[in-house]
Amino acid sequence: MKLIRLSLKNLKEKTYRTLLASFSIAIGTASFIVFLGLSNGIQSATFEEIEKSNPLTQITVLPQAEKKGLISFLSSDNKLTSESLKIIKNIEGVEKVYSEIQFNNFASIEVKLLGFTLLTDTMVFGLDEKFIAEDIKSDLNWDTSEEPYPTVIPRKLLDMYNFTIASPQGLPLISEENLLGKELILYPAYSTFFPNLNKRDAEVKLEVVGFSDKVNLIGITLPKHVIDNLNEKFAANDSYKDSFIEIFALTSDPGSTSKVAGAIEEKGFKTQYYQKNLEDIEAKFKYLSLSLGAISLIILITASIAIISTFLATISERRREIGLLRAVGASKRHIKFIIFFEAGITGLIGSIIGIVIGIFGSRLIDFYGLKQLEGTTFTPESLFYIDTKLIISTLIFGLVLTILSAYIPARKAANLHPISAIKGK
Amino acid sequence: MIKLKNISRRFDTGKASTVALEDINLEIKKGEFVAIMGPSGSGKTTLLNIVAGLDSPSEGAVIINHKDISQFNDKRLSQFRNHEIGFIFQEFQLEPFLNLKENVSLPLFFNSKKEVTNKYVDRVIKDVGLSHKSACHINELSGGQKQRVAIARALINKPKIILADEPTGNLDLKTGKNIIELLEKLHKNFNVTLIIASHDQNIAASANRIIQIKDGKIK
Repeated sequence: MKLIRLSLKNLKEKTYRTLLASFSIAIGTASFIVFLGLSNGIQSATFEEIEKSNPLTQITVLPQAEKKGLISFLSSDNKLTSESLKIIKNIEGVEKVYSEIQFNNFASIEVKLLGFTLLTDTMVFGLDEKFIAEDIKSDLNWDTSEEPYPTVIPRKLLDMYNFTIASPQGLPLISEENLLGKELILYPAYSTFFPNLNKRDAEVKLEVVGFSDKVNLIGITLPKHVIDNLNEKFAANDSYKDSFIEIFALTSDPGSTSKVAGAIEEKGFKTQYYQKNLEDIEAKFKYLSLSLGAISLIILITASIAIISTFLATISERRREIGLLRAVGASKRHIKFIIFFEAGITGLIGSIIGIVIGIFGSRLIDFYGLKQLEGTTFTPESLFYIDTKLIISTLIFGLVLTILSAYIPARKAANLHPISAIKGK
Repeated sequence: MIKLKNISRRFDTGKASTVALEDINLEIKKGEFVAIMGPSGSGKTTLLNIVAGLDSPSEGAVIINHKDISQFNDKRLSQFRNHEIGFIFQEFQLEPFLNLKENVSLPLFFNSKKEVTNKYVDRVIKDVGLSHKSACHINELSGGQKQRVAIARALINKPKIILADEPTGNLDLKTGKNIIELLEKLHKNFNVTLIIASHDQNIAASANRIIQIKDGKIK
């Protein structure tokens, strides 16, 4: 305790120098917080985005692609059919199964919005209402047999339109509020790319009833019975019969998803699910984290070199004092303790200042960074994720590094000859 | 109580070697007041430093209370300096960032054995005539007062031996005389062995024994 009091008095006496030394640690720990917080934040936001379209209990089943040399394509033997549906339904752990079908021909949609008319090609898909029930914001009956038919738009498609077409061309941005309840005209078997090939003589009225991250990204989604009717009238060929684009298998709990997916794959199907994506992405993010961590480590090491230099200079100036302490009975161990303790306090102050600067810096970067991301498909709440664990580990790391940096100066101080030191030699 | 046996001290500086002490044999009894007199560079300070354990002899043994301190490791030697020795320097050697009382108490920061109470600290400060300046900072004190602080610090751990290296060297005549009187008084009151290295004839006059040293040898 007495030595601690002596050290604290010394630090208080040399406040300016202590703060200066602390500042170099502060820069290191601030960069640690910013870089690792950024890595965690982007990872977290990415996982959240993925989870929107791939909930933890959902397994997307795809037909197995047949590899032929360098080109892989779907063979008719690998279609998803009602038989596939039956097989998957009977797998242990599968609670519910939904299937997605596709309109088997060109199609385009026309929408009048904000004073302009948009006519564009689209793919058209069919889903059961229950699969996307929470995304439907209208009272329009999904099972209606009269026009307008309900349609759900992929959220990401809206974002992509705004970012890649509307913004660059100075067109008004379309929001979900603008589009909800709007009427669309579907022209089945008509493509804007080949206007001379087909005529735009069939129209189907649709109404936008919701937006979803679960529906197919490359088109609009209608009720299945509507797609069945469209296929009967306008399908290019019969390949749509007893054929599903995707099957969605839902498990009862997230913990069983990997196991159930494995069982589905054993039956010869290909699967995609959040946890599988997570493993791939986690591996890639680990590389990002390591890289950013390495950069902040380099900054911290540079800071610790500054600490070594500062403390060595301090030892030179305190030779007389150290000699006196040795003369009145301080052992080498006492001298080392004093130096390490002072380094610890310096590191603690520096780490705390650095953490505060880092958090403040991350808020500032967030403010400007998120503004730049407006209108893009990536709109997280924050670019950073700074939790208690990161703060505590940064604090400990800064503290430990400072104390380690004091090793050489402490050894030098302890080995000073008392008499030479008192004389200032 | 203090025995120096065949003590020699050489300082090797590159190619040259300086002999500070040569074959010193000396005994000092408990409670003696000894003045070590000699011209500058005669080895007085080196001799004092070796007795205090601040320096090691190149040859020989330093026996204090039947223990050869030249064989002590750093921890034991530090404890010896803290518990058994009180050292008074010519330049006072006080800490500017501590006040008077804190400077006096400095050895207590490393005292792991002896019980020294706050009351005792105040008593020692009173004995050196500085009770009224207890909370003052060192920069507010005169040279004589600073030396008194150094004396109090030397006494604080109740040492058996007080060593003073030119204690009046930086003081005027009158102040120096006061310091010598104080040292005499404290020598008697605290029953310590007092060894002073000096050219000051007033110190020689007050000492029980004078040891003359010249060119590293006792005359």
